[in-house]
Amino acid sequence: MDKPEIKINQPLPERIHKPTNVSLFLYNAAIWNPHRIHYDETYTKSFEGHPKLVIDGPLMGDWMAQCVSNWLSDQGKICEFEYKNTKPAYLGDTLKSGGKVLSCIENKKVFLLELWIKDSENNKVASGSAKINLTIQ
Amino acid sequence: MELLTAEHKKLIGKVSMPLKVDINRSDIIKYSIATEQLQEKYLKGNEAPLMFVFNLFTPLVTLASLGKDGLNTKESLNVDLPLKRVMAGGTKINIFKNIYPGDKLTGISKIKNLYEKKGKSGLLIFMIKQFSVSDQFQLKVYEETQTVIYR
Repeated sequence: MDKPEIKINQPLPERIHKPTNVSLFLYNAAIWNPHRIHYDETYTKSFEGHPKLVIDGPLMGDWMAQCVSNWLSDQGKICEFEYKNTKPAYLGDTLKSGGKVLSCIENKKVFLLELWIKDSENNKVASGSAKINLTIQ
Repeated sequence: MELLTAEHKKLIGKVSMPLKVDINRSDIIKYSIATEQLQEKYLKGNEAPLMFVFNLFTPLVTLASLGKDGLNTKESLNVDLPLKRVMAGGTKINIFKNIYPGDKLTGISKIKNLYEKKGKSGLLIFMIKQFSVSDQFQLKVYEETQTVIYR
């Protein structure tokens, strides 16, 4: 199959994420994370000063990685991935993952992408980047 | 006032004992469901998604070892710092090969840097950890550089 043509500034498909108590519970069980800010609302408000249960930062990292891997499918691989949570996101928030092609590092083979998670007011709550290589699968 | 003493600074360069994890299909499937994966290769557990590696090597300790916040009171490098509340900072992962069920991974953690910085609500401690992972054939699988913020 021919490699897709990738253009600078090309947007990646966006996806809406609405985590629930159940999905947060399953995520934290899957990664064996007992941090109470993700499931104990009373503790989270009283002792950690958050208004609601906190959506895991690495879960948003995963959504950014998915944004790339779903777009790439089997046409290439992520060889470097970086993310940072810039603002807490809370249970009940509607979040959107997305990104765009920033630059070509190696002629039509290696590209740098910019990634983000935004809240419903279009504020970035997490940002990231990925280096993709179209010569490996 | 400085939070980190000369003793704390000596932790820079500290390396953990090798940690071992066996990858199994069921864990990949559970992770993929919880993260709302769309691709069949992940949902069937044939391959692990990139971020499956997060917390993969977390030490499995008894309930008595968990603090009030639910977290392990000592992390894998057994570091006791003056600030106790933990926040995840940035993470960078270099990926060298895919992870499959049946893989037997070995990871070694190292403290790359430890410093303090003034934040909006006071002093914060930043720990930069590097985690290097290889498989049963001694092939490099990934390297993760993580910033952990203590507040």
